[in-house]
Order: sequence, then C-alpha cells, then structure tokens
Amino acid sequence: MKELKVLLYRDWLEFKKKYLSYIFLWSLLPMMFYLLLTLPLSKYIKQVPVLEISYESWALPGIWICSASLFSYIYCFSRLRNLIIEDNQLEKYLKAPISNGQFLSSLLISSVFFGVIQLSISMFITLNLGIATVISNMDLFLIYFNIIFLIIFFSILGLLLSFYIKDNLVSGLVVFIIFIFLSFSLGTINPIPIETNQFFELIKKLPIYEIVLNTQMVIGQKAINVTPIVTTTIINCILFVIVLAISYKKFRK
Amino acid sequence: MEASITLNSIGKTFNKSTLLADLSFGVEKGTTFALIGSNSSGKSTILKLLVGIVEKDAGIAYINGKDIHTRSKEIRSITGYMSQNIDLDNELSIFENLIINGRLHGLDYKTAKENSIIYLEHLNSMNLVKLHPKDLSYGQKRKIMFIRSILHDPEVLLLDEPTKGLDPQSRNKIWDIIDKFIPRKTILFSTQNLEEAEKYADRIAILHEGNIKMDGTLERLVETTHGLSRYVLSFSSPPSQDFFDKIKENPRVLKPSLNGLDFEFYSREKKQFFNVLNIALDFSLDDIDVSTCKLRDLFIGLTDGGLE
Repeated sequence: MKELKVLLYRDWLEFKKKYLSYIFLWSLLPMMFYLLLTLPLSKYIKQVPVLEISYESWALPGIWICSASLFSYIYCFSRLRNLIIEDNQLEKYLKAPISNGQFLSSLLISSVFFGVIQLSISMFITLNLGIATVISNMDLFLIYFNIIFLIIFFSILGLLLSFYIKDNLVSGLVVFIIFIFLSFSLGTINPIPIETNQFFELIKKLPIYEIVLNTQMVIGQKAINVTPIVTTTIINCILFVIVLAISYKKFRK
Repeated sequence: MEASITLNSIGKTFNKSTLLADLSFGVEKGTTFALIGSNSSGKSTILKLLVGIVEKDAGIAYINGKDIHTRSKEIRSITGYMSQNIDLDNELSIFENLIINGRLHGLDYKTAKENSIIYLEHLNSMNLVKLHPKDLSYGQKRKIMFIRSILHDPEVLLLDEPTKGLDPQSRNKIWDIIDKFIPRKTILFSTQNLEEAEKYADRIAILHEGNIKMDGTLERLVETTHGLSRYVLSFSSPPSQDFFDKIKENPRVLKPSLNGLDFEFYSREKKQFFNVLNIALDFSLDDIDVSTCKLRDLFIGLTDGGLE
C-alpha cells in the first residue's frame, strides 16, 4: 500500500509539471465532441425515440462518456507503452520492491482519477452551453457511478493494448478506431436505430452499451438497470487479471 | 565465510541465443566482487537476473539466503542496482528522482532527502537537483544513478559498469563513497576497466560467452599464468615480412601481434625473448618493454582464444 502511494505521488509530481496541457486537453475534448459531432448532427436528429427528449440533451452523457473514456484510454496506453518501448524506462520500476500488480494499479488509479476530472470538466462545459436539461444531484451521482465503470474498462483496455502495439502508426489508428466505436457504434453521439442490423444487435448485447443507455435514461428521468454495472465490473476484474498475467510474461523476460 | 550471493547452474537464453550457460559462483558477505568480460559476455544479464529484471530459465540463485525467484520483492528492497544504461525518470527532476526511488525502497521523505543531500554534496552535484535528466550530461546522469542505487543503504550493491563515462576524479569519488559510506557491504560490479577491478575487487571473475572462465583473487589469477611474461618491442618503422617469418619459426613465442609499431608477444622463457630480440636487432628496433602477466593479459588470453 505504501509503495502504491509513492507511485501515485510520482504521477502527481508529473501532473503538477504538465497541468496546463492537461487542462487544455480536458477542455478541448468535450468541446470537440460537441462542436464537431453533436452540433452538426443536431441539424438532422431532432428528437430521440423512446426517451422523447431533444437530441442535444440526449447526447450530453455521450459527450461525457466519449471524452472521459478516450482520455483514460490514451493516458493508460501512452504511459505504459512509452515505458515499454523506451530503452530501460521500465527497469526503474522493475528493480524497485514493487509488484507488477502495484505498478499496474497505480497506472489504473491515476487514469481513473484523470478520467473523472475529464468527466467533471466535460459536464461543467456542456451543462453551461444553454442546453435545456434538468439534472439533480442524484442524477449526477448516478451518471458518475455509471460512467466510472466505462472509464475503468477503457483504462484497462489501454493497458492491455500497450503490450502489443509498438508502432506509432498502428497506435494512432487504434485510437481512431476507439474514437469511432465510442462515438458512433456505442450509441453515445449517434442513436442506434430501433430496427438495426446484426452488428448493432451485437452491440446492444454489450454491457458497456447498456451502461451508456443507463446514463441516457438518467437524463430522460427513467429508471436505470444495475445488471450491466455488475457485468462490467466482472469484465473489468477479468481484464485486469489478464493484463497482470501478461505483465509477468512481458516485463521480466 | 558466509555467502551473500550464490548462483547455482544458472541458465538463460534469449531469442534462441545463450546468454548464461550453467553459471555458478558465489560472493562472500561484505566483499567486493568484479565481473569482467567482453561485450555480450553476460555481465549485465547476471546483475539484471539478481535484481529480478530478467528471469532465469534454469538453476537457482540466492541473495542473503533468500531465493531470488520466490522472494524477489524482499530482495529488491535490500538491493541497490545501478543499470549500465540511463534509466532516470525523464518527467521528474533529479531531486524528485532520488526521493521517489528512496521512498519506493522504504525510506521516509525526510531520510530520503537527507541521504540525497549527503551524496549529492559528496559528488559535487547539488547544482543538479532542480534540473531534469534531459539537461544533464551522460556523466552527470551516471552519478545520479549511482546515488540512487545507494540511497537506501542497501545490503547488497549490484553495479553495472558504475564508472562508465565518468572522468577520473568522479570515478575516484564513486569509490570513495563506497569506502566511506557503505563499507562491509556485499558489492558485485561489472566493469571493462581492468585497473578498477584490480584496485577495488577482493575477487575477480572473468566471464566469457555466458560462463566464468576463471575466478579468484587477483594474486591467484595472476599465479595461474605460471610466470608468463609479456614483451613489447617498439620499432621506428614497421618491420618487414621477413621478421614475421623468422618469428613464426619459433613456436614458443605465444600470441605474437603487431599493434601499430609495437610488436607484442608472450613467453615463459627469457631465452625466447632473447631470440626474438636478436632477430629484431636486424630491423629498426627502438625500445623494449618487459612485464609479468597482469589481469589484462589473462583476460585477453582467456577471452581471445587463449595465450597458448
């Protein structure tokens, strides 16, 4: 536990030096999603079926999910990948009396922490855009509670992919794919039509999609489903164990 | 005497090439042990293996009686390791690098700070504390890495070419610090600087192709040459082929070689030297040098096909 605290303190020291660029990114991401995706799409999608709320209100949790998940994915991916591909950078952790679990946990905790800050800043920015939305404190709690599981999921995904993606071109491409998947396939920015094809039928079965749906339900003042949160927690735990197992193969060769 | 580091039949292959082959040796507690060997002989792999950066494929190794495989974390907390390559955290200042490393090894902030200041002052590096690794020269980075490895007062110190890239004054200061601040600790260091091995190591091992060719005290290693001497004849102009043809006729002239204008060879018998000298006098002989075999000669002999 003491070692974990030191590792987190190290991340805090790094953050203190780069806080301006972090704040810039945290502000840029939700604005980019709003200006480049939600605003143009709002010309074509007036109202979202089932929830019967305006598209702009409906898309708000989508912007929060996309920006927080994407930030956490990139944070975890780039931190671990840089340590792995840069000569000897990982050695400074491997020679210290810390376990792989502690090291990976520190990356995950930092990533989730920064993801939550991204989520808060995204909320602050988008809720001040004048979009008619009523959100109570309870709604805010439910939205945080749901999205945090997606942040954890994409952080672990970042850790997992950093073991295998060495090439800059491929890593850029994967970020683009995740961005497209988050924005358009997961029903965050673009509503999934009721009559769908096989691909969307598959997407609808994903617990992370159901979490996205939960956050939209909160905006639409409807009841949420707890099952996908439990399922995503289990998936996150399994994924982290896989990442840990891979780390024992990859770190100490 | 109690063993501090024990390696028993250690094997390690990487990408189908053998790095360590059935390697066994021990380092006594409180002694300094030098590993010398040519590039890729396996020196760094041994140190990385002991600190847990690489995993062994075969064999068993202990540090202070603890199995390095099963009690790896414990071992890392009592070990100080300095890598051959720069592995400072580029995102942190030098002071932060030292503090974080000290705290990861169990020191509290105050002790980590105090120890950092003591060593930084001793190595005249206090001016570097606020800088980042990218602002430092190679030698300065190496000094900081050395301080980092001893900050937590480790029981066992593993140093991979600790003075590589340092000026002579800094080299001496590094060894001064070891003498002054961490006496009677077990130190295993690798080096290509044979004088350093001769001067500071209690025992020396010559490593070649992943195995130890010979190990022991300097005196014992030199004894194994059985009175072999090294002769150097310096010429004012390169001797002709005729000279070499005449030398070749004498099989007891060992490992003859020409380095620039210096003709070098080994022999156990002074008579052979007189024979060569006699031949050389017909050419433009300038100077002669005779010395008994030292570590350098033994090293060359063992790692470059043997002297005989």
